Order: sequence, then structure tokens, then C-alpha cells
Amino acid sequence: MTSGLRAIAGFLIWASALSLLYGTLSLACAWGLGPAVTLAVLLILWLAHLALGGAILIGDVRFARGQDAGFGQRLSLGANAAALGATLFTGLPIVIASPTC
Amino acid sequence: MSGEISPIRLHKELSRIWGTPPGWARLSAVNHTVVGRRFMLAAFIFFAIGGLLAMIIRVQLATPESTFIGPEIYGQIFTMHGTVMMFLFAIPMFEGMALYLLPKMLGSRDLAFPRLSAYGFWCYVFGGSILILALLAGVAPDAGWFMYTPLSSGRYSPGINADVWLIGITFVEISAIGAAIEIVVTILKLRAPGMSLARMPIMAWYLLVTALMMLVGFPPLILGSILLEVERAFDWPFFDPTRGGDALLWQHLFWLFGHPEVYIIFLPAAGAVSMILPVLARHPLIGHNWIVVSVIGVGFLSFGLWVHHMFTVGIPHLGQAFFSAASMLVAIPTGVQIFAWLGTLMAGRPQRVLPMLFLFGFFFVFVLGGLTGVMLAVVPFNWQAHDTHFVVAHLHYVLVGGFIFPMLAAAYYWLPHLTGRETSYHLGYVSFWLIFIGFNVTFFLMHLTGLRGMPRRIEAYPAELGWETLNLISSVGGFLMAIGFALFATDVTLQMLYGRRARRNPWRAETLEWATPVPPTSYAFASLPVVGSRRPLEDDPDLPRKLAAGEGYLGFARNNWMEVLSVSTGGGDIDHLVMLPRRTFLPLWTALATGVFFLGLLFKLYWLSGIGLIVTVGLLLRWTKGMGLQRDHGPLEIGRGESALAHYEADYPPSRWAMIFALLADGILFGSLAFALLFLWVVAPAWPPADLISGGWLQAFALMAGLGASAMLTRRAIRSGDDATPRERSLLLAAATGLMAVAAAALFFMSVLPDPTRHAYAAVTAALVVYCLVHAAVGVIFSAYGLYRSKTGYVSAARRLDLVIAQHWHDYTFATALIAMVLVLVVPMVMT
Repeated sequence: MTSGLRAIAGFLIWASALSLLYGTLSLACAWGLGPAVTLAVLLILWLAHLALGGAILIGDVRFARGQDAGFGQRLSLGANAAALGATLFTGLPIVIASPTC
Repeated sequence: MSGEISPIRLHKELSRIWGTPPGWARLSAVNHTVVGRRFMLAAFIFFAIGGLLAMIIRVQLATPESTFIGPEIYGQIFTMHGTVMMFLFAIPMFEGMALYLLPKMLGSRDLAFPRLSAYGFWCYVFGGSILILALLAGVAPDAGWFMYTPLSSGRYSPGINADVWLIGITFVEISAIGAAIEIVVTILKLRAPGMSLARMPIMAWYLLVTALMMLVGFPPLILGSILLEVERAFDWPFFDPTRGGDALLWQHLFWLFGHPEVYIIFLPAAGAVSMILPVLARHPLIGHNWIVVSVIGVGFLSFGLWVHHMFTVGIPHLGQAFFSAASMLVAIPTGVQIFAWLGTLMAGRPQRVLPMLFLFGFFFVFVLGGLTGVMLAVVPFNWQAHDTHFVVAHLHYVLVGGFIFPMLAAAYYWLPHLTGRETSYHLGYVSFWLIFIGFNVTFFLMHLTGLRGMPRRIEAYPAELGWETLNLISSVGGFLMAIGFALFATDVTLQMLYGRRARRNPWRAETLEWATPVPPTSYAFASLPVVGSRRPLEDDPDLPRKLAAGEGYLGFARNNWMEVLSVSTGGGDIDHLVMLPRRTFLPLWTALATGVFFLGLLFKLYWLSGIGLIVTVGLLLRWTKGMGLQRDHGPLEIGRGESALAHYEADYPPSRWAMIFALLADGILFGSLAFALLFLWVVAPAWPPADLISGGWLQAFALMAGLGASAMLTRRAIRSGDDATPRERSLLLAAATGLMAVAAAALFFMSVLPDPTRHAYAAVTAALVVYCLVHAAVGVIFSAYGLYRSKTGYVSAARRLDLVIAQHWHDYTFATALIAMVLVLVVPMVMT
């Protein structure tokens, strides 16, 4: 079960990132925080999730190097790498689009 | 026990235990082969109904300003076409396929919960029948298959039509949730010994992810349906913006379900492709691990796309961009699978057989649909194409391409297994070309129709807009396609009735479903195999004979028990022995009682619903009669010189996992309700309301105290071990404290909350309290039931499963009630 949870950890982080980014944007618009504050908060959230996803991926790489990588380890590595890429791409609009309401 | 019995005698004894007698007794079937076939047959009947409705649509739209049918009936026709196809055909068809194939592919004799499958089947048939009968009576739902508010609210849809959708679909959803729990637990626990997750057939990965998606994706729709029905019946304004509600809440809840839904439909079909293509290409699947990663990726990413159905509602551009990005992203794992399949074809030697032709049809149509999907993911283009026939064309390309073509391939591939007869193919080839050509003629041009501005869901259009030629050609294509499907049905029927006897494993496939006799016996495997790789029939071509001779595990029949083995979740090591329940009419009676409950709601005969509910609960409790052991058995022989505990004495038997996954779905529903409160607070107009909750702390404390005490007392009961007296005292007290919690919640509802009809805040708050009340009441039933089981000798230190399952429920109820009370009591303080 632990290895199963490890394999989906990256995508859980992606789901958290999407939910928090969208939710925070909605709250920022509702509360009138303004583009600068909104952008700063979103950036922090996004980078924090990227860092977390990266840490999990580094852990997977080290774990896989330390022993013969079985199916579970390779699954974890692939899934968490894909998830990190997804977190990066999903949040990219923050640095491209304007956080206007 | 092993080796003492001849194969013929073993077959007879197992058939006697596992078989379904003829006549009326067939209605008591719980066997996965029988129930799976029934699901597929019923789904195909609903497909034919949905197809007829499509023909009516195409006749109506073939010419401008057609008066073939009027707007009111047209609304019912297109709503029912979408509803039937999405809810009554696609999901049940894949469920039927999964129920039929999974145990055989995994090397097991049946699914984890046979009676749940049967109950799900009857709920599906009865729920679907309500919708079809409403169609025949002229009161079918008519607000579109996604039932947007305010059109579907009481004000603009005053008749029973919308209620038919809300109640009928919720009835059918019970079947889907049940099937999802069944599939997840069967895949995780009931595999053949040695079949680790790495060695299980790729289809099992697809179905595992799909079933988990159903557990997470269906509850938002169930909640939305409940809220909309409560709004319509009792005027609680969840979606009424004049009283603090918001129509967008419905859209969010619906599409949170609706987008994963289309991947729930696609993934099993893709699983079929991943199974069939390597066999027909005569080469192992290339990129197996990448496909597993991709399936997991699709499973997650599909939950991050839903707002792309709402790009035109006024969400901030940056918010739209997140979902646009995610919508493009999902093409990557889908593309990985496509390239893996293409690579397998290129590396192999594809056979020119009919299933392969349907797979090529899938590639062509689905990839085109995927490309237009990426187009629609781009927000500016979406704004132009939204609600036009371009979207209709896209969705049919991905759904027909991504589901129908693979299912037709799967039908021809596995039909020899179901029927034991060969296909003649000649009609099948004609059927393919008619469907393929007819489909593309219908829907390819529809992209242009949409780009020229033709909206969805209109029953007529003027002649001067230039849409008439395109529509006429689309309609001709539609009829071509219909003839193709009719030929397919004819071909299948002819095969079943007159086909030559098929040899076992005509495709020389390597997975375990081809190790059973064809057609399969009721018990699937006379003994259970040990699996050492993903290709067990390649490792041991003599395996079918050995299993039939009883050389595997459980190669015997004893005590009329229906026995299968449970393995560890990851590694496939034998964990315990599972004794499955025998055939019974109870699922049928329970589904009928459930139907009475829903019909009472539909016709607003709430006294009838009350009776239906009580009978349903009583029958569900009756399911457990005779289940379990009244003494500790210890390890039982399982063959090959080994032994294992019966599941009643194991730590994590299938039923415990079922409760865990059921609570996952329940938790998503609760989360959706919490989201509803927070969403309305932030987005809806007229917040905060004039009337907020005042007080309620005492009632909340009593509620939490009662629930907490129930949880603690159940823990104490489990720790009592073999000593019945303290155990039963704890359970009696747990029931009493549970009743206290119910009373506290009822008092909270009646005396503390403002009138729920005045504002959506009051409505959602009341919904949260009702949620706690219902769960507390079920907790009381669990405590009382545990007490009964203990008094009748079914509980001991080793046999504590009933209490452990109750423990999960109590813990969950306590946790969600705590969150609910925080939301109910603290949010108003923040609002003011």
C-alpha cells in the first residue's frame, strides 16, 4: 500500500496545486487583493508545489539507485516525473497571463 | 483433499455449488459470468434505444424548418439520447465487460461481492426503465443531458421531467458505485497467487484506475442531483441567485463528474485495445510500464479539466488558462498509449482479422477526435466553438472512436469466449465499413456545420443560413451507420445461434481468461493457478488441462462453500481464503425496495419512500444472515499442501476494503458539499444573508460527544476479545450514544438553523446537518447489528470483522461531523 501511495504522491501534489491555484485566484478576486498580491501568492503556491514534487522525485531517484529498481520503483519514478511536469505546465500561465479578475 | 477427485467429478461438484438453476431461479443469479452478460445485453438494448433517438434527431435536422417533431418533444429526444448513451449504455457496457472478464483474467472464480453485482444490475435495469417509461409517456427529461440550472430548476421546468432524470440517474448511479467498489477490491485482492501488480494483465490496470475514478467522480453528480431535487421539491435555493444560490454551482458539480466520466468511458476501451492489439499483432505490448504510468496520469489529469466545459461563463482568464493547460496536457498520456500501440503493430506481424479492422477504425476516429479536443482546449477558439455543432462533432469522434470501435473489436475478439462459437465475419466486414463510412459522413461535416455557426440543441434552423446541405448529408450518414449497427447485431445473433464450435483460445492469447472452457463454466477455474509472469499461457500451454484436473489451489469442493483466494495487494502472496455468498433473490428484492423508495420521491409520495427505505435497510441487513462463522476455524487447507485463514478471521478481507473505498466515495460527496458552501459564500450574490445561525454550540457538542463515544466504545468492544459480556455492553452503549447524536443533530436542524428556503446559506448549512444526522443514524444501525452478531455467536477475538467495519464508519462519521460543525458554526463568524 505504501508503494502505491508513493506512486501517486506526485499526482496528488499536482491536484493540490491546481485546486489551490484556482481556489486562491477565486478568493483573491472575491476579496479584491489586486494583481500584484495575487500574482505573488500564486507564485509562492506554485513554486512550493514544484519543490515538493521535486523532492519526491529526487527521493524516487535515490531509492531506485540504491537497489535493483523493481516494477513499483519504476512506476513511482515515471508517475512522479510525469506529475512534476504536469505541475510545471499547469502553473505556467501564472508567469504568462495576467491575474486580472 | 487435492488430487483425490477426478476432473469430471470436480466439475460436477463445482457446477452444483457455483451454478445457476434454470427457470425462475435464474433471477437469483449472482455469478459474474451471468451478471456480466446481462449487463452487456441490457446495455446493448439501451444503445439501440439511444440509436433510435439519434435517428429521430437526424430526421428532424435533415431539412431546414422541419416540422417532423415539435420543440418540446425534440428537447426530450436529444436529452434522452445523451442520457441513455452516457449513463445507460457506455458505463454499464464496460461494467458488464469488466464483471465478465476480470475474475477470469485475474485467475479467480468470481468477483469480491457477487450479490453487489446482482443488486447493481437490478438497480440499473429499474432506474433505466423509469427513464424509458417516462420517454414513452411523454414526460422524459428535456433540459439537456447535463441539465443546467436554472432551466432544470422548478421555475422553468415545473413538470416531472427533470425529476425523472435526477432520481432515475441517481438510482442507476448506485449500480455504478457498487461496480466500482467491486472492481477495485477484486483487482487488489482476488488475483491468482503469484500475480503481483506487475504481472497482472494490462486491462486490470485500466479497470483499477477507471473504478477509482468512478469512486471520486460520481459523488459530485450524486450530490448535485440530490441538491437540485431538494431545490425542486422543497424550494431550498442552492442554485437560485436571487436567494444566494448560483447556477454555476450546478455546472461545477456536474462537470467535476462529467469530464472524468468521458475518460471513465474511454479507459476500459483503451484497456481492451491494449489487450487485443498485442495478440493480433503477435508481439508483446511495447511500453507496458509507460502505459501504466499514462493510465494513472489520465486518471488524475482528467479531474483537472472540468472547467473547459465552462470557458464562456465568465471565469477569470488566468483560471481558464490553468484548465486550458491541463486540457492540453491530457493529450500526452493519451498519445503515449497511441504510440505504444503503433509501435507494437510495427514490431509485430498484424493479422488481418475483423477485430483488427475495428482497431484501425478506432485509431482513425479517436485521433481525429483528440486533435479537435486540443483545439477546443485553446480558450479563444473555444469561445467561438462553444455550444455549436463543432463540439457535437468532437464529442462523437472521441466517444464513438474511443469507446464504440474498441467495443466492437472486443465483441468480435471475445465473442468466441462468451458463446463458444466462431464468427463467420462476412457480415462483420460489411458492418464495419457501413459504420466507419457512415460515422465519418455524419460527423466530419458536422465540424463545418459548427464552424458555420449552427448551435446545439435547436430543433429547427432557417433555410438561408447555409446549413441545409451539410445537415442532409450528415443525416444520410447517420442512417448508413444505423444499418451498420443493425448488421453487427445480426452477425452476433447468427454467430450465437448457428456458429461452428470454437476451439479454446482461437487467438492464441496468453492471458488467463483463455484458460477457461469456452463458453466458461460457472466456476471459471476448477482450481486456481500460480502465476509467474504476465503471460501465463505462454509459460505453460498445458495450464488449462492442469487447472481442470484440480492441480492448482482449491482443487476441491467442500461444505458447499464458494471459495476463492485473496492475495496481498502488491506482491500477490496468498493472504487468506474468501468464502463467497451463494445465489439468492435478495439483490432483486432489495433493488425493488430501493425502486419503491425512489418512485416515492419521484411522485412526492414521501410516506411510500419511507416504507421503501425501511424495507431496503431491512433487506440489506438480511443479506448478512448466515454469513460468517460461529466458531474460530484457524487455518483451512487450500490445496498444494498449504493452508490459510478464512476471511472472517483475517485482518484486511475484501469487505473491509469495500468499506474503506465506500467511505472514500462518501468523503468526496462530503467534500463536494463543503465546496458548495465555500463556493457560494465566495462567488454567489447576496452573501452574507440577513439570517445567520445563532447558537447551536450545545447541540454541536452533544452531537460530537455522541459520535465520539460511539467510536470509542466500538474500539473497546473490539479490544474485549473473546469476552462477550463487556463487548456487548460496549456495543449497547455505542448504540445509545449514537441515538444521542442523532437526537442532537435533529434538534440542531429543527431549532437552530434559519429557514432553509430563505437563502442558500441556510440550505447548504441544513444539508450539512442532515448529512451528519443520516450518518449518525447509520452508525446506530451498525452498533445494533454488531450487538446482534455478537449475541448470535459470530464475533470473537479472531472474528471481529463486523466490528472493525463499524469502527471505520464511526471514525469517518466523527471526522466529517467535526468538519461540518466547524463549517456551520465558524463560517458565519468569519462572514460577519
